[in-house]
Amino acid sequence: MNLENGNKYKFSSASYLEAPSTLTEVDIAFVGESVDERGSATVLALKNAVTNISTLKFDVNDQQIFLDGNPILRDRLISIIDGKKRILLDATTLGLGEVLQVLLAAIRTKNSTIEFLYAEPKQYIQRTSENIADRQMRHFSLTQNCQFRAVQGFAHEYEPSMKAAHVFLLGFESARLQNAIEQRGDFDRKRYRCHVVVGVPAFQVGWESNTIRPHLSLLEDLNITERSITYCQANSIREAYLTLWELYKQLGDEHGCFFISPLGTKPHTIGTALFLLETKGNDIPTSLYYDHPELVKNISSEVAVWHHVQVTMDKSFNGINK
Amino acid sequence: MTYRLPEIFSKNRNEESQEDNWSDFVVPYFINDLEIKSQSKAIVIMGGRGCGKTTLLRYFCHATQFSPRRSHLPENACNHIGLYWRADTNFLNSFIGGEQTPETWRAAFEHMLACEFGKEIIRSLRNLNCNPERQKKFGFLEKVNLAELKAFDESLGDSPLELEKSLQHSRTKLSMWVNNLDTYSKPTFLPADEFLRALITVLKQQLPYLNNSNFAIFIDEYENLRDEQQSFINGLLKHGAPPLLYNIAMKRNGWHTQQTIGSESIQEISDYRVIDLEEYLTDNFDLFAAELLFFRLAEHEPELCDKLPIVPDQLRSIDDIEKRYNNPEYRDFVIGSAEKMLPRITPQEASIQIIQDTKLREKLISKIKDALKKRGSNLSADRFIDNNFPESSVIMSALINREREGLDRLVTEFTELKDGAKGRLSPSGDLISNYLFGCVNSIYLDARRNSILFSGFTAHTLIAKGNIRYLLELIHRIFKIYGDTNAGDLPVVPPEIQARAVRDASESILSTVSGHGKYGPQLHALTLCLGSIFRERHRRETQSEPEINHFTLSGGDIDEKLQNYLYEAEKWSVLFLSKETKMKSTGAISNDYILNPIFAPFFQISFRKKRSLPITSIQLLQMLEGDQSARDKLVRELGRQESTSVEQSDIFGE
Repeated sequence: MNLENGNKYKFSSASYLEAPSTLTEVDIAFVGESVDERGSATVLALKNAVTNISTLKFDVNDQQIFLDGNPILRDRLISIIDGKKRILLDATTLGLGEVLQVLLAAIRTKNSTIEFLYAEPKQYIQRTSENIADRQMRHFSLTQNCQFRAVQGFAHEYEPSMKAAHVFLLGFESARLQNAIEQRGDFDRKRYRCHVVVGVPAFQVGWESNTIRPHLSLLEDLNITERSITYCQANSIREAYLTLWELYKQLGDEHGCFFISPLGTKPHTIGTALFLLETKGNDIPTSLYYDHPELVKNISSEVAVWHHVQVTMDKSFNGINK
Repeated sequence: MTYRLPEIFSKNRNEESQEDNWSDFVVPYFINDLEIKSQSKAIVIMGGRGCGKTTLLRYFCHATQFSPRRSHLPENACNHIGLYWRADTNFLNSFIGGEQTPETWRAAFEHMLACEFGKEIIRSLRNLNCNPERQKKFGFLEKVNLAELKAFDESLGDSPLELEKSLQHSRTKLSMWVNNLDTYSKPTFLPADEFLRALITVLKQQLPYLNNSNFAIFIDEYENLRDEQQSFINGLLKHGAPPLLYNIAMKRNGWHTQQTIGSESIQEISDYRVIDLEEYLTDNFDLFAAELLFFRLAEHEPELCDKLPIVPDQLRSIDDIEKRYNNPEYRDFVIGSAEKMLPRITPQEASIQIIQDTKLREKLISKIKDALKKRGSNLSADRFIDNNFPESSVIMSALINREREGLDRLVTEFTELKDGAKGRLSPSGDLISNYLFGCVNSIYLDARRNSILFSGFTAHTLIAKGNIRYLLELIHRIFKIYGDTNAGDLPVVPPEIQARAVRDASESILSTVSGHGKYGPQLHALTLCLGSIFRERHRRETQSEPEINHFTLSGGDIDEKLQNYLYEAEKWSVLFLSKETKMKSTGAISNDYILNPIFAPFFQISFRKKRSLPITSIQLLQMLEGDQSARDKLVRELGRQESTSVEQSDIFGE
């Protein structure tokens, strides 16, 4: 395992070609709904290894947490994880909303370590059409896009007169970026700076073009040039987290807000969650801008690489007071 | 020196987010018909994305009306003071849960409105008094005492500027509370309507020039608010009365509810009046679009003004609408000038190109040969082509494919035509007028060339269909390929460049459909599937039913799910519901749905509304939700099957 130092987190990660054997001593695991083979694989692996396992869902429309199908208050989540030494989140099946709720609960307890399990897909299923017109549109349909909706605790309001930097971590679907821009409305491009992060190296060689190509015309429309594109390892939570810190230092402005839209890989999304938790309440405000996608069933097949990441929060972490 | 034409029409222009559009606003011909300044009840401004709702609202609001760039304010300038507000609906959507009651969230929302609109009222007075001359005429702002408002909250400032600051501070506290519900104390919430009316009353008492003023709030993007927030706004619309009126702007089908928070609901006519912006834009869009084209050129390159058919100040003036729109000579001149810049190739002219262009002629010959072979004829293709009769030659491939057409008769008729007779094949005959567009287009489709029929300024206005954003995108793409032009010269863009550019623009706009709201991916799938079916229809060899580009729901029930999809398709202007409903023999009204013509260049299908295809609700649902193979099957079935399409009059006037 590599032990690396972040800003306020320590990351310890390992990769495997099959389900990690390190799951057996996990005290409690949270999983979401499986929509493809890798999701089924991680849920099964956890069921085999962990006795205390619960499904978690965050309904952004009602800002409500559901545990095993039942609505609960955050205090209940806090009491469930309080005192547990090893808490693991299945990042393969859980969404950003659920991860944020557990992180918010964790900083209210004495837990300082959260673990993440993530299985990369071996391949995504790209639909091909026999119609020329249809085939010319290169696209993946991985998610059903929803409206961009704030999560309490990570919602800074946007006002057209304010300065802002907006970082979009891109995935395969340009529609999500399009939707984000559309819902943000007209903004002054001098005051509202957009920056994108592309997952390079990608999970697999060549997949980076699946990210870049569909976005090209949109990036041009947004006046995003090479200087506003950052590359960051697609399967690394830590790299995503550090990349956001770099961009925050570079683009953040105390008279504005630093918005983040993690529209790409799950490791990038988890990195975003950790970054948002750490910067919550900072003088230079940070905010999530997210569409909470519903994943399309069977969008990928088989499992490529398993990742097991431990994130230890620094003792000086004071998220609870923010 | 050159003119940077692509930049002039670029979406990235910084002006687009300015609140004050006094100098940039081309006054639309219908502005006086809207009766916004004389409103006595709520107005609902409705229209698709890109039709200019926000620009219009901004024009009526104080930043524009009291613009420092406006040299003279009319006497009644203060009678209607517009206040614009576009909510951050991403943020507002989190006003729920968090262990707070619905009543608390409603009060928080109301507080937000009170703060926002209160600030806007003060800003409007600051804009009104933006220079010494105005201060002399109006003024006294610094003498206003708002201490009376402290009854609502002791922390409110007692001068206009202090009030503005304290309302901003309250807003920040609200935001902090929403993000830290566990640890941050709940701010004092202001009751919106009561607070704003009290503010207006105090201002009127102390500023006599506001005696006759009505404050009109325009809430943009109402469709993105939560249901309960819409209900609250609905109550404001219903009970709004001078001197404080509330208005909303939204996309079509933007209501989630017409209930208020009480037991009442709001009703059109009695509670509000609807302005359907797209309906207003339908008439005269060609002239308005041409004016906009030249206005942008004049704005960017003032030295070109002498060569342009418009006078920019006239387009900015609300007093000159009659001169522009009741003057046929002006109309012809302006549209004609736009057509000179972006010339059109008619189907007749395209026929000549087909005859003269080696590859296209080969394609025509090959189509005729194939048709003859299919009919077992030994006749030579040359018998059906004549350089002097290009239109007749071009439709031959379709006619030969029709079983009912006798080949010998066709040869005879063609010979007679060449000898001077005026038969069915005559350029002025019905065959040419009905089928030439489709036949020309199919040759371009088969030759994999961009159809030259997608050229000409008027064609672009038909493709944009009243949508200003799309029109500007088409023109931007055209000039992007055309490049810069020499200073002093007006550009003349070759039709081939236009055809290529509008296809690019169409493809780019199509790719954005997936991002159109909750059902974006489904609407994208629908567009691709419908477009592919129509494209297949346009390639039919017989061309007996050319230009099928809309559909009629002809069977099956429209359940709630399908209805929601159709509402969303309309909301995002993917489909237009045709007003031309017709009575079926059963007496039921059938609705026609038109695929937005902005997608026509990508699929290379006609942008003129001609014929419809009957589609069942099951088929439509498959287009929206089916997997790729199901959609491909539909394209095969509906794209190639023989069926009875319905021909309709051309609403686009061609």
